[in-house]
Amino acid sequence: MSDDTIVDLSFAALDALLDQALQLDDVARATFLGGLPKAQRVAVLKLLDNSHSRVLGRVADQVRNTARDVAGAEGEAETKAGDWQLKREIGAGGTGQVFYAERRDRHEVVTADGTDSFVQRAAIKILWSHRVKSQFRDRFLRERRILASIDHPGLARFLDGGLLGDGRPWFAMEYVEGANIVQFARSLPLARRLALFVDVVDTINYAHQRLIVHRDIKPQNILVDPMGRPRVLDFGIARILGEFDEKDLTRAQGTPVTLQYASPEQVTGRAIDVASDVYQLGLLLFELLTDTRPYRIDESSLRAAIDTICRQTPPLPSTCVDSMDSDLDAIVAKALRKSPKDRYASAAALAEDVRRFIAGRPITARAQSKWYVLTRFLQRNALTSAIVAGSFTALTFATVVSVQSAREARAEAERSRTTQEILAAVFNQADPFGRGSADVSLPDALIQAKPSIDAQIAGDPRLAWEVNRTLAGIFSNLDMLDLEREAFQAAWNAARELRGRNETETLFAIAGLGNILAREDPAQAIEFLATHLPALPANRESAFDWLSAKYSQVSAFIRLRDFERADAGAHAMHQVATRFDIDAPRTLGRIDQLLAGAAQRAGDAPGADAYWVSAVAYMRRADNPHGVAVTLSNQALHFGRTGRHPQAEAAFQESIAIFREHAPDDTSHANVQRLYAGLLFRMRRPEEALEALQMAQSILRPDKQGYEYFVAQQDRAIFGFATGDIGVSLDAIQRGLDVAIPAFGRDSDVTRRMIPVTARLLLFADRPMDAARLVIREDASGRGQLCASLTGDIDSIDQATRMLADDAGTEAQRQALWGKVAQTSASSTEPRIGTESFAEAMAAYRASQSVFLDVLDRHRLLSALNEIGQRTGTVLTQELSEELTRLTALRAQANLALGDDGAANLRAALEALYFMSEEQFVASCATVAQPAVVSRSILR
Amino acid sequence: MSESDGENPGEVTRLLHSYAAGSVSSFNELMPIVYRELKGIARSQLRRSGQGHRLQTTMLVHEAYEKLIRGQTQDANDRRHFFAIASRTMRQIVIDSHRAEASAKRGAGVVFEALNTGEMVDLSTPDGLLDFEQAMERLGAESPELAEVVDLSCFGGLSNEEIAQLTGDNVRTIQRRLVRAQAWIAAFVNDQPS
Repeated sequence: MSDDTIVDLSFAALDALLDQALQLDDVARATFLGGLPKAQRVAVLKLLDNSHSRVLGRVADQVRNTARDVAGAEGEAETKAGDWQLKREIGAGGTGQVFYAERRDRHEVVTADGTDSFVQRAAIKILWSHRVKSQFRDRFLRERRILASIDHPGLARFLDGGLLGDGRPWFAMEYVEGANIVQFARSLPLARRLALFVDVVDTINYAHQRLIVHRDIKPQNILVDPMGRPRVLDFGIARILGEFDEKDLTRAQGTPVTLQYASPEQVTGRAIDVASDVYQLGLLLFELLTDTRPYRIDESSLRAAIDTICRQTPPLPSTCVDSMDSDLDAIVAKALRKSPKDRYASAAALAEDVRRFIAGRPITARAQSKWYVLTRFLQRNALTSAIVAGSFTALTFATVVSVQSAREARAEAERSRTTQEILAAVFNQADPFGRGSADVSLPDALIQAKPSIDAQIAGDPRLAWEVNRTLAGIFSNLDMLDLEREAFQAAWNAARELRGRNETETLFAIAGLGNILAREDPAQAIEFLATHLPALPANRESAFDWLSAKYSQVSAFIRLRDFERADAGAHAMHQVATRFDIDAPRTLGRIDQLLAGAAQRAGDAPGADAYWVSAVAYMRRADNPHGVAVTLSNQALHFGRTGRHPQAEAAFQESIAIFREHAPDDTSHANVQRLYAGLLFRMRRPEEALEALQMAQSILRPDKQGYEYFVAQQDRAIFGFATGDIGVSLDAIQRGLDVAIPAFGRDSDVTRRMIPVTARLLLFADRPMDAARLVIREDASGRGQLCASLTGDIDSIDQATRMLADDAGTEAQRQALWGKVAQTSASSTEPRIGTESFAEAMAAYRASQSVFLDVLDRHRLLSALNEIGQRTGTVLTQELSEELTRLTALRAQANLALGDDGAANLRAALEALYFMSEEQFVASCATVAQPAVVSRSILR
Repeated sequence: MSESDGENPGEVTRLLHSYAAGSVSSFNELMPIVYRELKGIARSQLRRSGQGHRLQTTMLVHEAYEKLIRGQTQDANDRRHFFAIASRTMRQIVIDSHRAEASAKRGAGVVFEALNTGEMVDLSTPDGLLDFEQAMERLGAESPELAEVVDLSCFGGLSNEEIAQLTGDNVRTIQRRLVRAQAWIAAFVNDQPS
């Protein structure tokens, strides 16, 4: 064993050092450890590392798990409850145990084989015996009462109930067999999953109507029975609204809520009502849509868990899975709002919105933001631009199509005008402020105007086609999928009524419908297009719409991972484009990008190679520099992933060159620079990687592209470290923090993690003052406040006190806060503290000694109090006044000990003032050979 | 009802007092009483909760206190000593049963897959807890104070606040002791010759 292993140093000495280190925060610990001899430092560091091993938690766990061995014998369990035979335990909760049970029905059934009796099955819950005399009995009986009072196909039926011989109550529920809803739904198409969800919401709504709140909605409590019907189980912690007493209120916080599915009001112990169920339904919907939960909740730290649940904005489902409709994002977001009053007002309202989505109608979650939240001005303009955009496509289309004769052209133009007039009338009605009615939304207005529109276009399929085509364009712009679909459907119907050649019109509608379907249900889109899309378009004119429809089909194949048929479809598109001499390179380029991505995912690298080459070629032909540059960088990533670094570099360089020429300030340019930097770093050229990042940084605006900027800075910090340039790292971290704090908040994980790291880096870089400044500015804890007092900067003190007040810290901290207020008052011209609170302030000072150990801080505080005393004609107690004298002397000693302002002295000074107790301070004053302990710049 | 109903609560208190006064033999007398009581309580706990249910360590130790000490004493020292002994006994019980299980499993030739890779103490192997016990013995020799908090916390199931009340320290001190103990245990386990 070498000299500096832990065991060779004395236990007592190391343990004392460890104890000391544990009392320091990250920054102070770094300096403390820095001052130890190497062997000790290594040993203590290793112990600190070990202290995170969590071995004790796991031992405690193990102890509970080996419980049965401790008992040495198994306890005998109940075997009967009423007529029921208890077969096996299937679960256990806070109030009782659940058994699978059977009973033979008294009515015997006569079958061909003779007499048979019918076996009825049940889940029976029995109260724990040791809880017979506790509050749990009330809870248990409440559950039984609740269950007996409700009956709904979405619930397990209540069958029976009674008392055991020992007085324990029990009840029997219908035994539901099935998979939990999320597992069950995993392989289902979106529509089925949503239908399941609506069933659950209806069931919960039924309970709500009977004033019952479930409070524990989670996948494990919802089983899908063999009939495919979701059944809500476990009303174990359900509550009847309005049924509160004092005891219940205090107990509410002790309710065994599943942390992973708890609502913000549940974890903070606030009143629970239907809104909490709505929130949990939102979590369920999220999980049904994405097969994942919005948060990773750390159950080992209640505080962190509460923080996540109450503060962290959940991601949108669309960020977790591909091609999620934004309406579903809106529904989930609304159900998951932190504040109960911002959520759906009822389960019924949530169910209604999901139904609207399923039916393709506009949802209220979205309508609200689109129609009621925007200002009048924006609202009018949004409408106008939608109309203009829609009409514009209609006009250009008319111009293109009707070139046959001037007469026809006039007729087209007239139809277009009619279309515009018809629609303008609708939108005038829709303008919520035009008629003083704030409740009319565009969809509502359209629904209202529908009969009148239908009347005006009746009998004129051409006009009907035209109007609906325009409407489809408008709804597409407004992101109203349902109405867009309706319009395409109507356009399709109209197209089929057109006399003579109508392929162009028909294909247009088919393409539109196919495109919508491809977004929500790829399998259906494929089927629809297979039925209605001809193998080839008849002429060049309809070829455009044919290509568009085919594109939807190909993307649907890709979404279903049917790369072979996607490939075939893409080839058909190429053929049609060639045959009708259509040069639609942009479309074809996009197709090839899709296919390249698909090939990559399928692990077909040569296939992907070919598609990338072709995609880049098409983009070049499309004369779309931005498209070329983006495609090239994607190709470069592909090269990089397959280990062909030189090719990757060439592609990146060309992409960058294009951006430089055409769009130097584009966000994509910055992203490409960042990706290029990653490649350079992997190629062991960190200096060049840093240059590329520097480019990215100069393009990005921290206020506009905060996230990109932050990510770029993170990379810079890492690369800087790799090159040994700690200055770059620090600069990057600081810039990253500047963005992260406003964007993610001071209390976010990102911010919290970065501050101590930065502070430590600064200390190692011999910039203790900067470290102190950083902590002062960014650390919301009492330490930050303490630091603030060190600089004597009133604003920082104020800021820190406020943060501390928000934090609602410990009693000692609150009292310390008092002391700070006193100090602030003393230094400001208008004292905010009166004689009556002087005694209180002194008490606060005494209490705060445990928090503020350092000499300087205590001196400041006490002299502030003294000053206030003199101003208000009161005096310090004898004890405090003696302490003030002593501290003044100490400070004078420190002043005497001033040396130059070198970094080492600064660090020592910081250490002494910032982190040390009085004894340590005195000791260090005495032992430092050159008495340059305290820097003038700090004392000032 | 548990087996110890005939136990005289006053007797336990008397033993506690003489243990506090330094009598080793009284510790040896106390241990089996507490041992029997804990087993009895554990058994009835499991009877109530059925198979597969996890034991509430806290309840176990508290129930034993209620039964053995009942209203006999209000002395804070008695409480502390009792809980220390009960937790120490719990540890003994757990380790004993584990030792038996570990040797049975080794005998049966069962291969265990190590979970928690990267962790320093691997409790998923049969010997993990026994390594822990050796480390605890060593820790107890170096610092009885640190070993005591581990016993109370892990084996007595007491919360940091409860421990602080028993020992008369503040909660932060207890927390720190636990962290230190954890650091040392991990160090000892790693240091053990294998």
